[in-house]
Amino acid sequence: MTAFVESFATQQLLPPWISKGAQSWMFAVAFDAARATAYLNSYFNGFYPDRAPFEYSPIPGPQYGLLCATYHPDISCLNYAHWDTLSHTEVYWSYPVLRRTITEDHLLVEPTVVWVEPFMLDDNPSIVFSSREIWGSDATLATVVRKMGPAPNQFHLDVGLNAVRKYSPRSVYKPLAVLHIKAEGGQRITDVAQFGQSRPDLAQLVNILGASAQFAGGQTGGPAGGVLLNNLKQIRDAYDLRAAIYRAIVESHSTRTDVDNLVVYEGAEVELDFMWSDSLAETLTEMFGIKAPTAAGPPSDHSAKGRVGAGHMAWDLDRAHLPVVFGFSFTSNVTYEVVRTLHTYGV
Amino acid sequence: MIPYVQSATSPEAPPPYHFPGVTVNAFVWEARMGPIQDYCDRQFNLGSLEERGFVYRPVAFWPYAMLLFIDYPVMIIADQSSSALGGQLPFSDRGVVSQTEVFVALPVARYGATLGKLLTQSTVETALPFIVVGNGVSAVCGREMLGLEKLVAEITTAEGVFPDSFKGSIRLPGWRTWTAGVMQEMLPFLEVETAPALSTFRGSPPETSLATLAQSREAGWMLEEMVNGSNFVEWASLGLVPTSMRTVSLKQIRDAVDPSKALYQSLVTCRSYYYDITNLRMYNENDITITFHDTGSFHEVLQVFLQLDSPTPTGKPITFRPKAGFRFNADIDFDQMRTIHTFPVDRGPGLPPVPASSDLVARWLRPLRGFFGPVSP
Repeated sequence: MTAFVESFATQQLLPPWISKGAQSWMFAVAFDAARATAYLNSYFNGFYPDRAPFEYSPIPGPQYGLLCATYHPDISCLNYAHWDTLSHTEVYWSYPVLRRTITEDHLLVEPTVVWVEPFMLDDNPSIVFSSREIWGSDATLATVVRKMGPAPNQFHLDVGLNAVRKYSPRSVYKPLAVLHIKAEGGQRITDVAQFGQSRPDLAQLVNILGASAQFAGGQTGGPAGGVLLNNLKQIRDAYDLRAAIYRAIVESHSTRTDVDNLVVYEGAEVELDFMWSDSLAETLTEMFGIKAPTAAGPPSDHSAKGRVGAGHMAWDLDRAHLPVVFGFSFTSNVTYEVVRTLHTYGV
Repeated sequence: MIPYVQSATSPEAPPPYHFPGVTVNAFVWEARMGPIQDYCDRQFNLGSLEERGFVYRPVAFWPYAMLLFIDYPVMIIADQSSSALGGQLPFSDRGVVSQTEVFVALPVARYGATLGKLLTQSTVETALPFIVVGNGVSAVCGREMLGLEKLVAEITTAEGVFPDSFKGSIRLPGWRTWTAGVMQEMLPFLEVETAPALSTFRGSPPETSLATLAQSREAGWMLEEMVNGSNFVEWASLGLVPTSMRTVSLKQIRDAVDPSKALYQSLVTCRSYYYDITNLRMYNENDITITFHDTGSFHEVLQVFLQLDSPTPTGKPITFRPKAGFRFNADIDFDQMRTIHTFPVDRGPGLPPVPASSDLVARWLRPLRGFFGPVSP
């Protein structure tokens, strides 16, 4: 194969990588299967001009996704001696879907649960570039302010983006708050099975999470399954910017080990609010079906602080509250590797 | 055509762009030809000369590097099409961005490898080995669409201690040493400071600067008209006399499974067209201080355009005075993006190789070729 030409601008995190002592907070949110279908049809199931030999569809039954925040204090390449060690915080929306292989005689076989990640916000530009250019995450650079409260299990995270309140040719993009998450209370648990039995409505999600070790309470040591993530990696043409010169489905695998400090939050203990602006409205409608703000003004933590809060982002916006079914947090070591390129379009 | 799916969450907006009312602070110093040739060989002269049919070299008659701080008060996306957004509001009607961009420009010449190609495919372009912006979306656009080596930095520009002076600085994510486990951190990369623009009673005596030659009202007016006129010259000369800045960059795609390998490599050019240039003011070069920090991971790029004696990072600041410094206001159009050469790439098992292809005809010949049809030199 042809060698990639490294330069000052490509000093970046390369897979496979390992993140030591990652702290994760994940919040389960119910959403409409039609949202998943629309996303999967747009990103994975279409003809571009050829069709990938896979059919992606929502998992049968109620749909739950995870709005996740992970702080990686120490992340570095596993295989390359490189300028690589860094820290970052990522916030992403992810949910499991069913991928089936389409055979030559149009049978759908080999059902596999994979995760998709429709959006990702990250506070480190090196990670944004790596995610987009190598494994194909739809990552955007954001301001992330993460705070731990004085009481046990108190968690507060705010995210800001360069955005506009109202679309207009004269609107100027400025730092606006887009997401506020606050969780407090919570309960340390060690028996995931018992938790699953206590919430039969969530049995499917808890089973998927358990199998992927995202929710493996008290488990230490070796891997247990891991998460298969499918991304659409695409790079624009320089002349026709509506065309891609490269488009492929990339499959990667993340494994969590040494999972510890598992805390479960009831939905009522979590505040999850998206701040409403024209810049975010399309995403909220596409991903969650939210078409208008559900409450006036910012969350109480930010209303008393005036227009601009931590991270220099403006908060004087209405908000759309997203009900959380339950949340959980834990610490772990994460290993991430790209498994294969499932399909390259146009070949 | 393989369509690109535009995400609502990551609104990277495609060119062309229009930037009115831009303020440019520019500084020029002498650069060594050797490191620029090495940079050309690494970035543009991939494969063999016979295979690609051209060679990039530093421009011997202009052995200078130019550092530009560009403040864009308004960045307008000039594409009014809404098709990329599924019929939603076009980018041009959504709002405007303001940001600061800093880059080091090196003129490079492309020569055709045969006599025919030497005549029809040779041209002067600009390489940007270092370019940083304050806006993450701008960095993503530049990297993914055009192959520009854009990074996100903390950039500050302001007046210095004295009115009408300039002060700029850059902090970048970097690593202090090449040691396993050394953490990336925000590090100082560059500081620039000037005295007030000429004429001024502050700083070194004005007569010590060559810039005083251009300080009379008439000379300043003449210079502005020359630059504005140069755009007319480009039009009138069919591009034979290069006036606007045409960048060339290597656009690549990494393989996801083996990131040391490439799936695609091409050369992309685009045009920055400066016009309505006003308020051209010179700084006394004897009062300009430029400081680059030769820290760990920064060394790689500094050795392209600075005269470094050490092959490894010294960890010390490098301070020098440039040959010239000036500022002006202008409007800039950013357009004419083109892939001029696709390098042959072996994409590995299961994928057909990418064949080489070229569209290297020099600018001056393009209108004629369009009129008379393709020529085969």
